[in-house]
Amino acid sequence: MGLLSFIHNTPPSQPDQNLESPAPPTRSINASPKSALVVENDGCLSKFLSRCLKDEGYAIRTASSADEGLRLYRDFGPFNVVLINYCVPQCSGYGIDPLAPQTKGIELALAIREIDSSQGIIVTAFAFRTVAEVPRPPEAMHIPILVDCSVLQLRGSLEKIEVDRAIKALTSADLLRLRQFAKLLVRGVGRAARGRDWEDLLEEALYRTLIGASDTQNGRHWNRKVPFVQHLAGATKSIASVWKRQFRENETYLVSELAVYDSEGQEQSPIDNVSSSCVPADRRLVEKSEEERVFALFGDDASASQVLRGIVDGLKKNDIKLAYGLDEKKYLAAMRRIRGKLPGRKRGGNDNGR
Amino acid sequence: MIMADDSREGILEKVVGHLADSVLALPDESILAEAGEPGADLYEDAEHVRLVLSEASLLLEGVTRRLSNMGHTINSNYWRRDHAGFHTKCLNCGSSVSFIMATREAQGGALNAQCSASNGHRIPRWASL
Repeated sequence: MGLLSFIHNTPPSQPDQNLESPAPPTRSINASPKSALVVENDGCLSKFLSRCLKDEGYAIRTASSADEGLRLYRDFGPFNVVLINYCVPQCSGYGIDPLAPQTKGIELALAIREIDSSQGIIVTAFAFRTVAEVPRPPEAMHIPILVDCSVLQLRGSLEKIEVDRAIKALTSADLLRLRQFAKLLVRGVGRAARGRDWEDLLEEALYRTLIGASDTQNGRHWNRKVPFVQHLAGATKSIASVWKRQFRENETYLVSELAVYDSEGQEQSPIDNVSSSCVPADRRLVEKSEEERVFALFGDDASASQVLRGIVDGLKKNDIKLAYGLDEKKYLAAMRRIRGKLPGRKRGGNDNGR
Repeated sequence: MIMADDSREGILEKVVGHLADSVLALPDESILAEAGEPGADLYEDAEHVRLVLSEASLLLEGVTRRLSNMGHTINSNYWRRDHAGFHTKCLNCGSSVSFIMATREAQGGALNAQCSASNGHRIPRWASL
């Protein structure tokens, strides 16, 4: 149900004679993983917004005036999100002029940003047609304004705030882990990256998080039960697979990419001895060449070669350790050496060193 | 040239997929140790990754704001994706907008004209008091 219909079906509001006193939160704010403050003087809208937020898993506190909102923020903030009606009055009760425009929402938003500059705030301005029509000072231009009266729009704004908050909360280790993860995936994608690098991969993962469709086929919305790093890793992996799949549709190899050298260093073309109609043989040659290049990197490292062989053969960690008699320490050390060497090696231009 | 119809996972892809998964399982101190190349400023490197993510978010916010300023209403959760980028339409007037991945730019009719079907009769709430 749209919020606009709420406005139209609600009699013109009297100046807060029947405003409810601030409702206590339905569950402990401290016990909830997500919290929200709703500053809305219209009782119906307040209930509606609170219901929407509760459905999204937020524990709610409500205020019906700017003064009360600020007090609650000082007492209980920060919140995951603060929702403020643009038209909220300074104070509740009989003290306000019923004919005077009540537009304290932006002032409240700025006051809250003074307290915590990273606080996620959404100002609702359902009385306006477009965001551009909402009067506000230059310093408030970056505060998200919601003029569209729909639950979906609210969800979109909430998602943006939650994602931005999660980005800010990532630790250095998380960020470097994501970079390393994305670099490795781009290395695996090879020529299918078409000049794109790990930054492109992470960017696209974020775009898909924010604007993908709700179904898993087209979008990668963040399920908040999953840590953000894990979510982004899943999204980047999925995108890397898409890049590879799209490339395979028109994949070609230069013969020079398959060149092999005999013991005297003479270049030979491996397809000279392969029937051109034998597609599986061509494919095997491509793979063999790739495999030789990878193993050549670790020719003098027995443990790393064994681990690589296990991976290529499709073995899991414990199977690899068992098959080659490697203890945990040796296995991890070999993996570290492989990770250190592999992403840096390239032939074909997909890792520009960024 | 030879054509490859490889539909299964390649050797390299298999290896780096395994390595990538192992990175996710590494403890923080190992990640920091492995990322510490000679002369590298780990904090700066980490913040660069944050910047990549933050800028992507900001870029998208800019597109949404441009659309809102022109009166268009889009459902931010329902963009259609194809190989070029993301596409959606204004819920009111139907004009389209695309976000092109290669250029990081938005284009389409919705960015060229005000929404012709936005709700023009909405009255500020304080006027009804």
